[in-house]
Amino acid sequence: MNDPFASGKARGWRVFDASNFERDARYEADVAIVGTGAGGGTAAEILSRAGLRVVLIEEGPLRSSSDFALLERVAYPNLYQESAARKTKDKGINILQGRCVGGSTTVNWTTSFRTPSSTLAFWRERFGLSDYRDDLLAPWFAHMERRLHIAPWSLPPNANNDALLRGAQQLGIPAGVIARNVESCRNLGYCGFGCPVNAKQSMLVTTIPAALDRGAVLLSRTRAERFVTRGDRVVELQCAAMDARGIAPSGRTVGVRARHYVTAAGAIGSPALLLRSALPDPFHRVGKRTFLHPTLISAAIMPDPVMGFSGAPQSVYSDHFLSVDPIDGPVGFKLEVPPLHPVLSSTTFTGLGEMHARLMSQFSHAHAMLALLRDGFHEESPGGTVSLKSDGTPLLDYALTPYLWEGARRALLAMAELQFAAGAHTVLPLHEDAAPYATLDEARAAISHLPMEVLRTRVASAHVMGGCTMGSDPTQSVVDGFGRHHALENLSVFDGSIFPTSLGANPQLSIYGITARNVTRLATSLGGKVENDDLISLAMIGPETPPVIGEGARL
Amino acid sequence: MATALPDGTERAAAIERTVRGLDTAIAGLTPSVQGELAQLFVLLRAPATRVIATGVMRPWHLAGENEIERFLRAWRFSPFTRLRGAYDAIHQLTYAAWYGSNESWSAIGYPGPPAVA
Ligand SMILES: Cc1cc2nc3c(=O)[nH]c(=O)nc-3n(C[C@H](O)[C@H](O)[C@H](O)COP(=O)(O)OP(=O)(O)OC[C@H]3O[C@@H](n4cnc5c(N)ncnc54)[C@H](O)[C@@H]3O)c2cc1C
Ligand code: SF4
Repeated sequence: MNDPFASGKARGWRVFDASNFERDARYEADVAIVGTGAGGGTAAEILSRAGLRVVLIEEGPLRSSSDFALLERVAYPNLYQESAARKTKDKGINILQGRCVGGSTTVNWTTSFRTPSSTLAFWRERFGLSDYRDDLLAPWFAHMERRLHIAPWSLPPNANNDALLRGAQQLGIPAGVIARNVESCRNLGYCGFGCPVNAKQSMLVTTIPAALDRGAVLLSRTRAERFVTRGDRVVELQCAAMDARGIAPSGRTVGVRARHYVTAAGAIGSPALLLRSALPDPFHRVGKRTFLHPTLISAAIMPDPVMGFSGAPQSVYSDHFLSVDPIDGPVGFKLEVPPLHPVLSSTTFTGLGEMHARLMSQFSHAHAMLALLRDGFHEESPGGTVSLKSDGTPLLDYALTPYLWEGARRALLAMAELQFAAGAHTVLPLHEDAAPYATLDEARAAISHLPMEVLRTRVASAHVMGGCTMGSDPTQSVVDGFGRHHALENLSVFDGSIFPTSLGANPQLSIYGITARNVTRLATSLGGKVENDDLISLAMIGPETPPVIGEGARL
Repeated sequence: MATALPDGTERAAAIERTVRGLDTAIAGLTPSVQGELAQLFVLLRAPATRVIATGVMRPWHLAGENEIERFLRAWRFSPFTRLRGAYDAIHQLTYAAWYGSNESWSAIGYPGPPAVA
């Protein structure tokens, strides 16, 4: 198996692991990009192709196909934030985020949806994002779909996804096939551990290699600590080299100077960087409106083997429960399934001792379903707040409100019904007070009385969004619709943190498409030569003129 | 956990490996979360706080399975979210350590990762 980084380094890629630095280092570039995930990767390729010099700064390690051992005990500590055990402040929600070159795209499950029309309409209406229209964004989504080989999954779903499909068909609920960013996928089902055969078209194997081929510099194990500003400009990015384990700073520093700075450190990461930098934030918007798609889980034991660890992890979805009520009514939810591997399953399954062991002994017959709550569209769903711990690392405080708990109960009920319709022997809503139920009536009666409380109801998230939200009103948002910081003229945010609500769909394609649009405009304004004329003219549509780069800005 | 572990002499070795798995998992956490866990372990170790927080009267190595399970149940269903959170951390760390290791897999019918050529 070709390892793109092994061959790239042999061709002279400028890739450095800062944990090896024996002295402090300095870099200069046209654009410094913090974070190498969906936003950072997309931005790096477009800027490099436009002839601009790019430095990429990534806190996590560089791990590539030859390192991907397909073992949870290796993947989680190496590739995930906080060993895949990042928690909200009250520990009520477990958060999965990537922390490696490629960011969350290296470990994500390849599900690809464009931003739903109803979400865009809400943004236009409530946040003044008048050019966030389907017709204007469609070419950007199409562009990134071509770039990342995004297409509906053509093989039959695995048994875990098929249970969702069967249940939906039985109940007459619409369900669809998921599009995935893969090429020559072997249907292994280990996307969450890093794809061992480079089939997943993550940033790690697409945009980042393209940028490196054009001379971009990649610094791994380098944590962006703060932006230093003078007047309304960023003049330097100060970074800490991490130690070999990637947990603590090594003591070496890395300074980066650029004409323009991009933060693409992801939701939680980007607001944390802005907070550490103490950038102007007169209306206290940084870190606010952080959304999670709080996710409820229902497990079931099926009569036939499911082998939920094998096969494309997500290939079937249902948006039925997103369309029952208006977007700003009772919270809607998207239905999908998660891959089932021993650690993720056993830690997520509730229960102890006997009951837990019995559940795990039926692991190969276990099926699980997810309901992702569409948070952020109602005044009782204002999202969470990112703040800093005393050591400068981020902490997300996210309160599950009664409004969300009402949706959680409905979601557990709906999933149990679908699972029984799909033939489940037993259904276990993941809640500390629940037990495996053998009939729908029994499950219904129990679920309607389960106390909906934090650390009783299992809630998880792999979709962190918001915290540096975009909008036309600087008193309500951090950046404008092009990701440009309201106060600092040479700082942009290009990642999932700019969304002013959750999406109601898995985020990656929204981030790819919207970043492509925003960074194309940036590239042009920095004097870069963007090849695709159609896209440039599209990028220039918008209420504001591009910023003027002053003379003094050139290095 | 007790029911998931093998019996006899295998048991001690399995526990030993699970504890090592625990160490690896904890090493991957941020220093501030490691600090919180350290506080939890201090609280569990000191006799006075152990008795108050968990109701377990005897030192851990003498405590019976029932006693330990009773304490975990109490935390799991505690009215205090702090204790529920601590229970959840113990739940997550122990199961991660055990089911992350190959020796747990045959009992649950997990064949291990596929060979990739
Ligand atoms: C297990 C899992 C499965 C998922 N499945 C899907 C899916 O199937 N479909 C989908 O659409 N979405 C999925 N997602 C979510 C999706 O991958 C993310 O929403 C998306 O990648 C976010 O992009 P981003 O650019 O905002 O941040 P990320 O991709 O998370 O990248 C941010 C990067 O910034 C780095 N960083 C943070 N702080 C700093 C700092 N101070 N200095 C330097 N670097 C820093 C991080 O280490 C990280 O590498 C999944 C996520 C996970 C974790
Ligand atoms: S299913 Fe397997 S081969 Fe396909 S993208 Fe995921 S990890 Fe790669």
